[in-house]
Amino acid sequence: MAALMQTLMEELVEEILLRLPPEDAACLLRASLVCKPWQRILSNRAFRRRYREFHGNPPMLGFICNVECANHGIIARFVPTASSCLPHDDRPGWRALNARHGRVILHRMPRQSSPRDNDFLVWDPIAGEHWELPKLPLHPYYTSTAEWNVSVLCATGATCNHLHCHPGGHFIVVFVGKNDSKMFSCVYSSQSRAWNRLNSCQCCVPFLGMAPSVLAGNALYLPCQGIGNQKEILKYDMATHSMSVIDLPPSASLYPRHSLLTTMENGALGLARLRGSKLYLLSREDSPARDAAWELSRVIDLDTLLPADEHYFTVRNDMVGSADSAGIIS
Amino acid sequence: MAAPESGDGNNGAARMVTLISSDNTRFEVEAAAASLSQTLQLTILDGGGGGGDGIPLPNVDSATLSKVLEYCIKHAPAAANGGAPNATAVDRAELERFDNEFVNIDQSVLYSLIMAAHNLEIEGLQSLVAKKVADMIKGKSPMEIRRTLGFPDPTPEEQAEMNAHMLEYGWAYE
Repeated sequence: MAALMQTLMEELVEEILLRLPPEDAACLLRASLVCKPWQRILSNRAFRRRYREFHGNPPMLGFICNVECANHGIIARFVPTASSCLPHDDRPGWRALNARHGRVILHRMPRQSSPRDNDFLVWDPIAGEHWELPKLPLHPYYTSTAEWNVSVLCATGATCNHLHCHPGGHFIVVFVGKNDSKMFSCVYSSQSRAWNRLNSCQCCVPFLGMAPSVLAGNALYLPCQGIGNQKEILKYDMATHSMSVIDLPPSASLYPRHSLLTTMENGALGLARLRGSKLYLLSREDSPARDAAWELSRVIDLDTLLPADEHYFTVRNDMVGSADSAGIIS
Repeated sequence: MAAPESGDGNNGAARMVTLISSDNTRFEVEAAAASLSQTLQLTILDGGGGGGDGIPLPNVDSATLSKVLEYCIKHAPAAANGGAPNATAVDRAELERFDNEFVNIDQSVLYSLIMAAHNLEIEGLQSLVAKKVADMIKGKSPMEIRRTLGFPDPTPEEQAEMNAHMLEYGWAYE
């Protein structure tokens, strides 16, 4: 048979290559070596964009974890999945705090001191790039006892599907601190390469932990998780850069870690609660009311999904993370 | 060559159109099935293809057109339901089974089909054949892909590039 397929017009070759499975990252690489025209198609930016759109959420290429180490104290580590083409990557001395839209925010604190002594680093483990952030701006509320949390997100906002915003796109970092009775915040923009939008308000949460925030709609939600039976979530509105408090469902608690904030498939704020072997997913519509109702949206029976071991749920039932859209399990 | 079955013989009201292949074979088919082709849909909406006229398709031979229409007739009811949100799991499974068998064919026919689907703008068929070819090449090395698709042997220059690539990206070939 003549080499008919080789004469196929570029448009149709593209339709074929578009359907190569994203789970096997090596597949596209191998295809690019078949001939020059295929290589040209596969390296074309428009094709890569189409490929990401066609396959929706990108496959999981790896995860981030913090590893204790005798030499460096802590190491933020990128662990690639089996099918991914990426090497292990370590950031010795840095601790990963939050990950979203393909980027991770890390911090390094040389000694116990004020948040201003922190070094912050934003890391794109897929592209292997990182950006050191300047020191936080001077603020009278910063002291060694200040509690704080920091989040990274794409700068494009709610209109972005996060399939094309990285690498190369701009990001912002939101820092929120609490000192005695004051809350304060500021925002770093990779575009202006500076911290700005300094803001402060009277204290609205009793405790601000370092648990990863959740992005839902156009707001960041910070679980005030750490000590005691906290019932509050801090909401940071990305449009107005204002802070407010919302309540957890009456019977839920973020401590101990049997509940976890998450983003629902429709983009609303969600709460995953583990009870026995059942995972309850509650959803909350975006309402300015502090006590807006949470509604049960789904119950997942883990018994049918996990190995049938009657001790499993009693031994280890902490929930540690959830998959963020187009991001990294944090 | 006989025209394919036009579907429900009891439904005398179903509008029929005639398609004429490049080798002058006439195919009578329900308008709903032919309308899976975006190209034909416009002509049919304008009232073309009926009576003794027929719509000439100079780029599609009779063997390929017969195969294309087999696909269209099978998929027309689901397409009429607008993607068939009310289709049962059994219906969907049946279509899937049909699709899998449908593309289990010689590569030259796959080639003709994807060209015809492209010319006639039958999105589902183009997608089905493209997926089949993608399945044929996934998991294969560049050389195996070339052999599978009947490409001629690589030039020494292409071969050297492949070898260098394998050395650099050994993980991609494990």
